[in-house]
Amino acid sequence: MACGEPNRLPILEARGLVKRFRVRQSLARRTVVTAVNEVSFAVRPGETVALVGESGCGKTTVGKLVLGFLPPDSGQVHFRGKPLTSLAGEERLAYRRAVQMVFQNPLASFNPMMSIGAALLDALRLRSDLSRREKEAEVARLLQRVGLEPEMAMRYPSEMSGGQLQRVGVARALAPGPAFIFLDEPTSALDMSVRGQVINLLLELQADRGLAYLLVSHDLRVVRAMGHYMLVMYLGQVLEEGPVEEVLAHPLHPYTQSLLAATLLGLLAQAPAARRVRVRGEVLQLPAGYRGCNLYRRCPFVTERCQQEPQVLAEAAPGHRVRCWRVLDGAC
Amino acid sequence: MSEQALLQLRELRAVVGPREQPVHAVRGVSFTVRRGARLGIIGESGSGKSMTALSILRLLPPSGVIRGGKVLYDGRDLLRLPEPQMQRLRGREISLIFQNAAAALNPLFPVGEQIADVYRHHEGGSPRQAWERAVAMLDAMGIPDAPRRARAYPHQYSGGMAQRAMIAMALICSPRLLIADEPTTGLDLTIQAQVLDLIQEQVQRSGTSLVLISHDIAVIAEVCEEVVVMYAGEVVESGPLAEVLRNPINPYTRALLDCFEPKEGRRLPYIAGRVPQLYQEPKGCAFFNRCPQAREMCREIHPPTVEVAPGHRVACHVV
Amino acid sequence: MAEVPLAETPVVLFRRPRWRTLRRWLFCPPVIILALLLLGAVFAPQLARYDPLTPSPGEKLQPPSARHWFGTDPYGMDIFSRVLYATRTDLTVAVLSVLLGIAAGIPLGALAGYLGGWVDEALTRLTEVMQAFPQILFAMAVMAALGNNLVNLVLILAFLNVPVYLKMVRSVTLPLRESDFVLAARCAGHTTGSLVVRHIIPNTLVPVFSQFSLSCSYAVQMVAGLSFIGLGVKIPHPEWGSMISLGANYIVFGMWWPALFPGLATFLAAFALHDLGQRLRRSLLREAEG
Repeated sequence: MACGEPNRLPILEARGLVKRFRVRQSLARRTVVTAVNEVSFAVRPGETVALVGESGCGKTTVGKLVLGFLPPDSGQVHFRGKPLTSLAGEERLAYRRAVQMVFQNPLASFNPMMSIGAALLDALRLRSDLSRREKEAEVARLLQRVGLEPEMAMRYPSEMSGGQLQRVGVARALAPGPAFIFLDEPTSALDMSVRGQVINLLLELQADRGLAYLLVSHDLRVVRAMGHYMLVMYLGQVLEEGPVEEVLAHPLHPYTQSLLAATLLGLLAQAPAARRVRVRGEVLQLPAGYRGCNLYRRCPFVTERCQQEPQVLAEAAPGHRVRCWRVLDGAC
Repeated sequence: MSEQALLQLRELRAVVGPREQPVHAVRGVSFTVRRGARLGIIGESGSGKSMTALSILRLLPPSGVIRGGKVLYDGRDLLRLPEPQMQRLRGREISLIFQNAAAALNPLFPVGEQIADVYRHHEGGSPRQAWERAVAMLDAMGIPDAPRRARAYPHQYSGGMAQRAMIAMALICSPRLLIADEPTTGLDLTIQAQVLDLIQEQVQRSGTSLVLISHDIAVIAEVCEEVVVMYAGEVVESGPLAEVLRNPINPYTRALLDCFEPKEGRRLPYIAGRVPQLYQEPKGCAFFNRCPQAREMCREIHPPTVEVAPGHRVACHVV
Repeated sequence: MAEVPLAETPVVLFRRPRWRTLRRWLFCPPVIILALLLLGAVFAPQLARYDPLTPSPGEKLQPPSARHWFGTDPYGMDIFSRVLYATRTDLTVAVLSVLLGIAAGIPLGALAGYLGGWVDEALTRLTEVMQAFPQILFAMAVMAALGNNLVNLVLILAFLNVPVYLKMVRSVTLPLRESDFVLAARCAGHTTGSLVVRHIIPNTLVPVFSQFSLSCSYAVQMVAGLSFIGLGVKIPHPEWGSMISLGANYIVFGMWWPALFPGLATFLAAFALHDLGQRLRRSLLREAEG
């Protein structure tokens, strides 16, 4: 994994993660859906790795795997060099403190019956080093750190605006003293004019504390502002990956190109050629055991070979990998 | 009223909420939609854009009341039209599509039947004719295998397909005006692009006028030629899209556009504070407390609307 | 941070009920009835003019008069005093059994909903069995096996209430299981147990509370009904159902008062509890919808 300084130990590393789910399609039939298919990346302190993709691409599942809420079917998650499965007792608690999450929908991510002060106190559960008094002081400090007044602690989630509540969400993620935060679409539910506030806060915190972020976002402005390295996912597979500036400036995979075209709709696009690429149709689940390209039915450049041959993720340019034989063969 | 204008709003006012303390959702909104035009309304949540759309068709929720103004459609004031005539207009001459298609479709009936129903209600004809038109419409919207899909139920449709079905339902009677309220929000990006392409294609082909409402300027910029910017129930700027994007005058418009297309580096711009819910109408400008260029006058006197370039109007003192 | 604009006066959010709302609740009919019943129960010793358990053979079956407001029963005991003391029995047994049912139903329902899997399956089957039993036959069978007394009556009724609350709590818990704030709690280090207690159960209390009064109404009817057929209360312990049963024999002879007054009391208690429950449910549901 080439990103940032290779000699710093990654806080969190995903190696060949695979996760399948048995899904009921109708009353009688069940198929196996591969939600995550051989995904690997490493996140170092002070860095942001971005996962970009649409619904069903597996990014939320990757988050749950990395947070230890789901066991992978194969592959491993490493925390500070050690596999998750080997952590127990104190080490497991340390992992739980160090790895936190910010949710997409702020209102749904808070217990409606608890004031935000109580929610933050709850988030300090693992800080057994603090007394009750110290925890209350910490709650006030956390609120101030995210730009809110400590008096807001007695408010309930429904009494706050989306932007404010999301900042409380960031405060909550900070409470246990993490080294890594999974940001699941942190601004999608917010108005355009307040997204910047949350993002700037996250950037500040990253600079101050050397936090590592795994960012999921379909807002490419956010990815560009925060991300150092990005992976484009589709139906569980990584289709393209590389440094953010590189991938956004020179998207190679047709899917990446069409995502970019869709995001920069109408406005002055950065890559004019990308504007015209569109994938057809909808996201289609592919039959179990299918070995060809996941984009087969939708790609504008599709050929027979795409259905037969399994695609391989390989370097097309230094540090920039693509899963498309057409690109790799230099056909475009 | 010019012969080109299809729809004209004049000082439309509406409030929503409990009778003792309603929120002023629409405060003197005026704009014109010409025949064949594609107008976008951009505003954030709470700006009053959806309420404006609902007011045009008199479809406000029970807690909403239209308090004043005119909605001139082809010269007639819709606000004074008797309800039966209003019903004849809806779906036939003016259609509305919403954000969440799946919620707008009745889960108990096949999609094709619902579309055919709309056609029969307005144009009459036999069930068979209506059904065939519905299937043809679904096909025109790019839904594969339309005859079979028409018999399917809404829950069997994906988000993008349901949105296409709703567009089919809105266009089946060839309306003269289509109002689309956040038609792509919540859909996957690649599907958004497809739906917008579809709307643009249909509207241009049939010469239908379009009012597209969105919080995302990129969506509006893709399809529309004119834009209206709303804040706290008012129009703060309006004009040709290219002109407003190139040369935004109102501080809110500028700040908002800045958020969409940040100029430098890594820090993202934002507007501090939030869109107010107005229980009382302010004397001056509603953006006063968040405006980087606010002056004392802005608090006291309501900003006048000034034409700064042909067709480009701005409501602001600082001009 | 920007200040709130001058024109914006946010609506005060109700967390403490305002005086007007409180007054509306305090003076509605069911609450007044229940208040009177409660006062009667609590101050029975002061309000009753005669001992409810001392028979007066000389005053059997006297119609209502200035001395005996509700008349006397076949044993000469003052019906008014007995009705007052019976209020204690009936209300206590009813409310206690519902509370016990809730106390068992909530944790079981939360666990069934949150854990899913075989725990959920087992508990669901169990509630189905419990609810399939005809309630009166069940009560009879248990009393026959374990003894006919008030304690058993409370336990039986509690048992019959468990499935209602288990299912209710379970159905509220199921959607919460996948919600973001539960995930956030797991990030914060909650174990399953602490999560259920701290986050799930508080969210189930509103529907439980709105059902509580309705359950009590039904329980009052059950207590009276079971006692009517001789289960649970030993004559001459004052209790509405057994009093009705005793008085029923004499209606034929034109003596309406031994059965009517306890019957009226039962009806008023059941009605007031039911109506209160309906009102609570309606207003809580309206609030939930925003």
